[in-house]
Amino acid sequence: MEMKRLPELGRFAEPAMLILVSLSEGPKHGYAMMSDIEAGTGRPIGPGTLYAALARLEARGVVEPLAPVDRRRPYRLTALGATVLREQLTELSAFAALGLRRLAEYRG
Amino acid sequence: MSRLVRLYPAAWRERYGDELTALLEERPAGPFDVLDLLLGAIDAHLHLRGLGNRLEHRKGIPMSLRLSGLAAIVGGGLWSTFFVMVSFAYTGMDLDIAWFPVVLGAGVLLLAALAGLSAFEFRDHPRWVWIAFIVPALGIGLVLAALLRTLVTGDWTYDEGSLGAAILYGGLLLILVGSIVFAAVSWDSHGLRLLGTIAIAGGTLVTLPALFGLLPPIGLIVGGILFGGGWITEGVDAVRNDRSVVRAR
Repeated sequence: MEMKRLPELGRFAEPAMLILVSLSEGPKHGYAMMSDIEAGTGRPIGPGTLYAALARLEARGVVEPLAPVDRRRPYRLTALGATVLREQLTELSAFAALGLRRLAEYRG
Repeated sequence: MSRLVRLYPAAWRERYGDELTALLEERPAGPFDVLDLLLGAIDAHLHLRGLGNRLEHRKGIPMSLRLSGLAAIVGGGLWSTFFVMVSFAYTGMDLDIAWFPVVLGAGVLLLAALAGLSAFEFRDHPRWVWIAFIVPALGIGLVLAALLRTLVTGDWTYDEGSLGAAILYGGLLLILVGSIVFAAVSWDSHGLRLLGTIAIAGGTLVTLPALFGLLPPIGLIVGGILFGGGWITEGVDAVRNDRSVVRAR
């Protein structure tokens, strides 16, 4: 697989991850993604940030648009997107496990 | 609000304009969303010109929340500086023009901070968040009017009862009132750090009477440091929040 990470996303790498995790539940349009991200993380994501990240993800083939319904266009993960997200989350999970293991032994 | 979509490049609008407009019509927008859309439009212009990728390799344009956090940190410092300067003026020191750029810079940064930080509170209190943004914006307009009047007339006196003092102090009053509204909204929705919220509210409650001569000038120093410190605390919290991957609820 050519694209294992989320390169070239700069400041949009984190919103991109939030979008991918939101879409891993199934296709969603912009408003549904914003609500889901806010509910899941407690952090608001602005419409400008959402669409900047979404445009980059689409350009890299990680998400794809579906036919619009009443001007609201849903997006879904592509197969590449699912692979990228799985690898990212696995890495994060391994990193978190390492940190927690070290914390358990920490005597500061 | 959907008019803001027109700020995006034509090619971008052709692809995403309709759905972004539909989203904005569906969801009530606050000051944070306006700021975020402005930054998004700048990003789209840079990205379509091929600058975006280059910028991303460097620091890029900070995210709205981070930008507002930084504005709160710098603005908070400027507000403390300003109120300390005013306390010196109350003891007879002639500050001449030096304090105007400080208060204007502090005011503009306060608006940027309010726009971003209010994102946490907007869903719970949309009307109050707009009030907390518009009231200080009017105050900054009055401070600017006071500056323009001074530059035009050459009258640097701000004695009690003068027109200049009425405009300037009216502006400062609105700025402080807007801040206390924001602190109250933030308190209610637990959007940001309680310590910062308390410091902003407490600082305002001490600064206001001192500004109008009801407390000695030391009140301006204590209140100003509390007020500025509160904004700095909120700013640091916002920057930290922006960096965290996921904040567990």
